[in-house]
Amino acid sequence: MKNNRDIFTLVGILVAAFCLLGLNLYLGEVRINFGTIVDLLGGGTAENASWSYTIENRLNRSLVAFSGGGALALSGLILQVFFRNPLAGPGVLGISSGASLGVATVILGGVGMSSLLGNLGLISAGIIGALGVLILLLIISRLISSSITLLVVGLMFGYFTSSLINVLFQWASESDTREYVIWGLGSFEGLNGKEGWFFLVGVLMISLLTVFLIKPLNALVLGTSYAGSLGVNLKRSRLLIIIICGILTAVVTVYCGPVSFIGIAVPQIIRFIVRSKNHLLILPITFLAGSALALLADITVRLSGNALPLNTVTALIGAPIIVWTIIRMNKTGAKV
Amino acid sequence: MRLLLSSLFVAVVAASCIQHTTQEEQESEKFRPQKQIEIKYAEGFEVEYTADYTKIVTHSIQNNEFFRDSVYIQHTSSAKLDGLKKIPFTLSSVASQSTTHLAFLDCLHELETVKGLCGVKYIRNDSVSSILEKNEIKELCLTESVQIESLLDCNPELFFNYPFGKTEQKGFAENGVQTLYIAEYLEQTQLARLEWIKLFGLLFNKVEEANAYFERVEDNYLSLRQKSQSTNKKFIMNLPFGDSWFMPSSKSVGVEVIRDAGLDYYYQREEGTENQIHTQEQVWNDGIYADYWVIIADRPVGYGLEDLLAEKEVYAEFKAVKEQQVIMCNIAEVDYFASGVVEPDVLLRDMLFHTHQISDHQPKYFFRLE
Repeated sequence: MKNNRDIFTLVGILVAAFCLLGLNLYLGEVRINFGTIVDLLGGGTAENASWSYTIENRLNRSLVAFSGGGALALSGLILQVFFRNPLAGPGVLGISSGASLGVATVILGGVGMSSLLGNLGLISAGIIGALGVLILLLIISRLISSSITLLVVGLMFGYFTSSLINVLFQWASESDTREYVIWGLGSFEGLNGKEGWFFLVGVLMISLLTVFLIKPLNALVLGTSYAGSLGVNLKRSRLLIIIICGILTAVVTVYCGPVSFIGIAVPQIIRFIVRSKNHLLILPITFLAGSALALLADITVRLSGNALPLNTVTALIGAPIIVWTIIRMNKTGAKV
Repeated sequence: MRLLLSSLFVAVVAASCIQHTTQEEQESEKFRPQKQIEIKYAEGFEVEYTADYTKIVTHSIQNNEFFRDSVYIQHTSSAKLDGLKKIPFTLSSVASQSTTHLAFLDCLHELETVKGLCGVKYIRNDSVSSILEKNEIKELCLTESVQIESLLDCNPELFFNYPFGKTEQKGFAENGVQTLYIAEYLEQTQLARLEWIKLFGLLFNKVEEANAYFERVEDNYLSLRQKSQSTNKKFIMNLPFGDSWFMPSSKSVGVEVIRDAGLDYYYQREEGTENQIHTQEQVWNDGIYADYWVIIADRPVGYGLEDLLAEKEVYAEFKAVKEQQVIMCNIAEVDYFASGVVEPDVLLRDMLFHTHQISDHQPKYFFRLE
């Protein structure tokens, strides 16, 4: 019965995500009727030659929002279970900041490093930055038992990397500085046709690796010692969590900027809605909810005529949810 | 008797030639600028002349955030200007928060007086750079704000700054640095912006040179504008940042000069004085029909049409691209934001050349992308 309800939730969120994807294709500053959109998606032409590019652009950003939002939510959920802290997430723990530092090193590093290294350089630098912070956190987590203290350490990493980025600003050219600032505002826009599909496939493939985490996560909810007694290989699970979360966060951060709040807020909502403790169900629901929230945020950004940056919208949606979580935790003494 | 009358006549004539001026009045005579300035277009500054001093006031215009600032050029020692900002009759050392101010100083051959500047690395004009290097000019803005120690080290008689960051202003005064807000960028016409050269002329006691420069450029500009004909062709402007396309206000001076060349702005009906944010898709939608695409942007040296098309495939569909009517001012290559301010006639001439209304002209700021 409980499972049926959760399966309905899964289907409901799936339908909602696809409806939002459709809306993101339809809504925009340029009004294109639905029939023309379908024609264009089928390879047809329209009265205005720019419309096919407009629809392609809307589709690409929708795909990026779908997969990027899902990936962030998934990372957030895994990290919250792993650190046993509902406020953990790629942003709070400094992982996004690590990725930002990697990207900043390439963009602001001078002598046209970004053009020299290209996208591959950006992605590699972002992944190295994100994984670096995650590994440091893991080392420190063995020395600190309090998860709140660990969060504070994560915040300190965030401040530290921000300071390093500020140092890089001193030598950066005006155009590099502007490029980095715009990247920092976050956006699902910018990938062309092929890149958008690569991003989607890449993120989905890495996300699928979380299948190997279902059993460890189910056990970790009950505590590390209990998980160990259930035969979970904690060392291997920890390594897998580091790699999957680090790469997902880094890839999304590199392409979309440090998108805040989705990684923390979505798992909270899912935890509230879904009764099951089985991550076989929780993981896909979280991914789809992250996708839906990211698409909703992107629609809001586009309907505001880009006056609102993506991070402003995600903060407006996410921050109240986090406050609600803290109050709820305080009332019930709830733990993950 | 005749001798007596002659002596009396000489005495009267001599007496009439005696000037009953005090020492202060003599100082006044000595310090008064050769010629007063007449403000025709600029709205952001005014000048008040008295026997004892000349007061220069700069202020906000229209709906911009309010500010008002003033300095006094003292003519006589009796002028009661205690607690007010007094500057020498002619400035010998200044500092500036903007490279744009250098263009005015360059026209008046006063670059040697510049001891400190914000954004030394952004100077695009080689001759200006070499003069400033000889001056051993100091960079004042290693971060976004002015470094007060560097400014004090320059010890300028006057620091030209922007009217934002007003808390900084207080800090300058506390440290004994005299400042004057310069807000030529708020002016809404090219000639009004250029007219600020008269203010600099006053500050450096070069009013006649400033007036002559202004009148020459004004004459050029007005006569070129008169020659231009309406082409019934439309233009869009610039390039996007991410998904946002900051289209200049229809009241901006950048748009004005292109409109004066006889082109119609695609977004002329939009109100407001600030840049309008459009989504890319909106501009793509309009770019299909716009006859000209005028770009003022920072791109690598040697940037061409192929580079532009590599940025977005959709640009190949733009009418201006198909008809090779993409006109670009690459600010990495030309000094648009500084010397462009004092050469609006050259900007207009460039645009007239590219719209085939004049020939035999070597463009300086705008070039056709090929």
